Amino acid sequence: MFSTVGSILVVGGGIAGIQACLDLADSGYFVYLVEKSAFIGGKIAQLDKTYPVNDCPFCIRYNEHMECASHTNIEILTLSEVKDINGGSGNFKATIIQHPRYVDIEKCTVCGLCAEKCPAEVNNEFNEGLGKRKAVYLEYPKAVPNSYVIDRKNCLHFTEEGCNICREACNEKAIDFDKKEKNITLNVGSVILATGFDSVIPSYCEYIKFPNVITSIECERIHSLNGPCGGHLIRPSDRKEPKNIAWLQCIGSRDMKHNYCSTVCCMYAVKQASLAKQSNRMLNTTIFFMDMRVCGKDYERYYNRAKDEDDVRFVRSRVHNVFPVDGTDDLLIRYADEQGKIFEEIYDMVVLSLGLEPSQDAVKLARDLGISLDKNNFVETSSFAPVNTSVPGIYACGAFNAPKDIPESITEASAAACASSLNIAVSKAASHEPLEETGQKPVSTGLIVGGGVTGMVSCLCLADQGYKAYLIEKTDKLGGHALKLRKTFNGEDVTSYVNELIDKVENHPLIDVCFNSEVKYTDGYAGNFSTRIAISSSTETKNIKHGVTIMSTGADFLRTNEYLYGKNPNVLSWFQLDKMLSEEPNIIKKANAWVFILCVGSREPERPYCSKICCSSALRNALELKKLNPDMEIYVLYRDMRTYGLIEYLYTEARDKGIVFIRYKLDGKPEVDEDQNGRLKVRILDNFLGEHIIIQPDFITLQTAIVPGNNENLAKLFKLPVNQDGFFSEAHKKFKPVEFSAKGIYFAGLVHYPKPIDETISQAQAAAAKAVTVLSKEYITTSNEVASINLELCVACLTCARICPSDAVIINGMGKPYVEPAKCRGCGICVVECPTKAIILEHFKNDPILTECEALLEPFTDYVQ
Amino acid sequence: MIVGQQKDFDEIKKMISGYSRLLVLGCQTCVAISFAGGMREVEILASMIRMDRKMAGQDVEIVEEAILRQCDFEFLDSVKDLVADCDVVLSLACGVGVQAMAERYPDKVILPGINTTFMGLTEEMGIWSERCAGCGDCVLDRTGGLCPIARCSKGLLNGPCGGSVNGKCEISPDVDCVWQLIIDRLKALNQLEKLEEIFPIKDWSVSGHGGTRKIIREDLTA
Amino acid sequence: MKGKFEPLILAFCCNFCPSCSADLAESAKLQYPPNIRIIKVPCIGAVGTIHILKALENGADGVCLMGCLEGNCEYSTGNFRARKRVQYVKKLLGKLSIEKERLEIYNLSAAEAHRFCKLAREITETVRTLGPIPLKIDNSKI
Repeated sequence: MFSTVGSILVVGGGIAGIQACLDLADSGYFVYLVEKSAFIGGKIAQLDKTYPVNDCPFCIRYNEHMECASHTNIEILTLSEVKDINGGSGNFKATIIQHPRYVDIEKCTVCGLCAEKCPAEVNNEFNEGLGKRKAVYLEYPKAVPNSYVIDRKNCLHFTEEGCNICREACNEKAIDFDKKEKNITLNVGSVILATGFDSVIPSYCEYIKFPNVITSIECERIHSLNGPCGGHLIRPSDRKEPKNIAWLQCIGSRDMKHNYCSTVCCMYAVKQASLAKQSNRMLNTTIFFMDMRVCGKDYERYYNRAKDEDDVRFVRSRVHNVFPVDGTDDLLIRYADEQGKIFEEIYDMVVLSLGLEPSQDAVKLARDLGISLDKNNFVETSSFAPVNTSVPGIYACGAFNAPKDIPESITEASAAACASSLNIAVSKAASHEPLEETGQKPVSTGLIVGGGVTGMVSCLCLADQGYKAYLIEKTDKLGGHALKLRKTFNGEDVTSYVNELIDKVENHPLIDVCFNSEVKYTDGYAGNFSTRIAISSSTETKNIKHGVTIMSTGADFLRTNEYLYGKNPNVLSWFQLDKMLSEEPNIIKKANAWVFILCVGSREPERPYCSKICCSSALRNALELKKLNPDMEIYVLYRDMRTYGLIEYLYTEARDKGIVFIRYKLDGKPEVDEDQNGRLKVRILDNFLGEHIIIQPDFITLQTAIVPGNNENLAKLFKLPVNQDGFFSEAHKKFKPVEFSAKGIYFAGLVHYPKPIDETISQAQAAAAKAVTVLSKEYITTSNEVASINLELCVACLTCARICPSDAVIINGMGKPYVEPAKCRGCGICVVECPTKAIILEHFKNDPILTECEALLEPFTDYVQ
Repeated sequence: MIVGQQKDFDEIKKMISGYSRLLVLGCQTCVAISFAGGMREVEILASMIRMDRKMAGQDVEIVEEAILRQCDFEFLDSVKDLVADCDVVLSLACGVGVQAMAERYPDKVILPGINTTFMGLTEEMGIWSERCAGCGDCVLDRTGGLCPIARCSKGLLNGPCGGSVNGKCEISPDVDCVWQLIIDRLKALNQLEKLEEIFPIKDWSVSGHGGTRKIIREDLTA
Repeated sequence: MKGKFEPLILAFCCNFCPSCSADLAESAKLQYPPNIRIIKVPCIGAVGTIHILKALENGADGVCLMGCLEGNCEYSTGNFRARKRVQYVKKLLGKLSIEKERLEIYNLSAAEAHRFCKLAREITETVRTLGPIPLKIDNSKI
């Protein structure tokens, strides 16, 4: 028997919810997943393709959906709502209402007869009302759980007495109209809210009533291969292919009611426009935007490609209204350019890039639970505990915390899994699957490379769950670049947080910190690695056995020589300003004018990526300066103000405080000069005035690019992939944000891409959560199909060892090969190459491909024309 | 090891024409490693023969088998029944194996499916090259471990000849001049003086020029 | 040779991207010729010469291999290996006087349901034009 408080409740079965469930379940916790709709998966299946890779999101996530449905540690409650949660951290009592499905999941064979016969036709909300479905329906093929559901609101059995057509049609007798609502009480230790977002059309968008004004999600459905138009981009009014389409950005974002940025709209509009363009080169696509906020990994490149290769037109203007063109279904857009000149253009179709807001049900639930929400109803969290709500034991992840993209949501989901399991680490409730007695135990130790904030957080997560952790740091102190930072964009004190972390790490009995150390050699596989560490002060080396590795070696900043940096002492880098703010506030009080230059070294041809944190750090410091010296003139010279998500609050505040923003282009960079007394002078073209202006600041702060550290060396040692910018490449840009393709090795922090401290910490927690899925196993798990060698037939020709793509074949002391099951990924390449046919994929006695091949063709072998 | 190469399919076709019950017999040692005669190649060749016969409208029955080594009589006994049941054995062993089979089964026609090419090694997956000619009188001690008999086109013992250009043999710019390699290697070993010693005329009688070779170790014989 | 000839084509699909495209085509109810029989394999590099030959020997009129896009192989070089292997088997088919066009290899991403259908139609059409594999015709003569 086990105590139920060892289980965890996850509310919301979207991308983040499913991820949190899987991470917890794989670490041995029992999870209840409560989903209000009839199917799990959330909005993913509605999306056409994902940027920046343009692959099918549902195809890639489908395995996770199936795994979630079949996992012995997960119980899915669909059509369910949380009514109430009582009790406290470690011992909650949750009351769930489960509405009846009316179709028995066990019996339904998804034959579709019920829907075929059902007389009630309603709008298909999965296709955003484009197209119809029946009252008994499957949301989309391969929806999980894979069973039809009856929509009570529209079913004639309930609305008009007595329709029983579907029940009679069902051969499996799966339909039962007498099923009643159920009240379920769950006893859980922690709760994770992963309730996602809604896209709501704001009230000022009256023009949505025109037939050819569609929302971004409708655009996804129209363009999707499995959508109502079969992938043909057509406009709703006459089903004709449009010739020119406009995207309007920031609908429901960065306005009076939603004074935040929805983060994802720029990228999805760029994606929709460039995909549309790729399917029809003759199409004209225009995106009307304010700032192009494409700050994720490889997003800038994607944006550049859309601009340069796909010829998507970008117009920097906020469109306030759309007018119908008389006698046609076309639409007129009137807009002003940066100089205020008015233009009018006619479009066949207009797509509204809708913003994200927290789901209304979730907001109500959160209020009932006493969770603090901010002015826009997002969960209030601290940068240092990004998934903790104000109520202990309740965690939140994904778009409920702030508008965010899929990789960040998945990261937070794993982080929430980590945090919520720490909460109940002592009482695991899951039943272990019976395992075969043969198996190797994983080494229950983690190796963390890099002792910055990321590494320390990962270390503590592992150690607090009872695993030994080695922290390898190349310098003589912990903390990394965070030691130079003063405050987060929210104004939280970084210095004291870092010192607290260092203290905890250095005093934790399960953490062993190796200073002045470097990795020299590593080998092994998930659950059983062996790494040699060299300590620079001595000739000694140290061998460490560990089950997982987390790379958290961080990044570096660009040493620029632009803008008189290094020549004039008053041209500062961001961390010099941070230092001045804490140590020499009097100098600041005396300054009359200050200039911030953004994108120094970022988004340039040789470094085509956004460093993500510069805008917010500049604004945070500019506001600090303003606080010390309210009369100071502050100018921020920027290219796009990328204050994504809730960082937009800072931008609003900065403008309110009178900070001046001047935009420059890459071909019109500010010119910085000094006179013979060292007095600085900045000359820049003001787009609004259309002429150059001159500023004479006392100081200039440069927001220099974040550049990768010495990753190439580590990449070689650990056999890890590095992208063209020099950052580590994850297993999948969208869905595996902290994993490498090699099992058992994870990464977190700036080693992957520049990011602010809250995202760094959630990544560090996520990496630890992934690590625990390996460390917590009783035996090292192997993939189902592993190659094995029949040594009687083997002549040790070494072919398998030469060609194995996973390095899984080892030649033992007897000169015979041996397949390491934990490394083998079951590709079958060695099986076909083995010249003596000595290798088989386990679980298959005969050649499975050949058997299947013969079985498939058998009925045809006698077939004669 | 012995490196072989499968014979051209047309040649095999001609060899086996007229026979309708075939035993395709692989050898799982040297020639398997050079992808000429292991079980993998047996299956492929058998499939091709079946298809070919089918197209010609001729019946064929093929048994596919491979044994560890066809060059040892003891191993050959395991296919006794299979051999008895077929008209002809297409052996994918090296010449030694084919002959062993013929000797063990004197009443049966044994055909070679591969050409025994040389003694050599796998340079990398799919590439093999010759290293030894079996001359019976090894000189590697004096040539830096590189054999001029197997690897010099002329088999020169006091090379290189005038045809060595930029380290390549005159027969092809793809072939290294082994004498150049020998010089480089001896230089690296600080043994260049070895080249000053002239090789006397080599005794080719032990290389087979003196008749079929045989080795007898009295201490081991029964 | 009377009546309409319908070729039978065996498609080896890598379990990663191409199978995804095939599933997607099915779930989107996109049409591809019923002549195509799909065998999913863990990696397209796991399809050996013997598999292709056996397929033809056992009654397939054509064989196609569907691997991931070059550079996208989960096992790094499986799809390159398969491409080389197809060239090799084409040579073998030449020896047997079987048309080389009956064998083809394609590279697909995970979301190319339409392209999957297009390629399926393409190979079906090619093989239909070639007619039944010579193995079958002669079989009927006997």
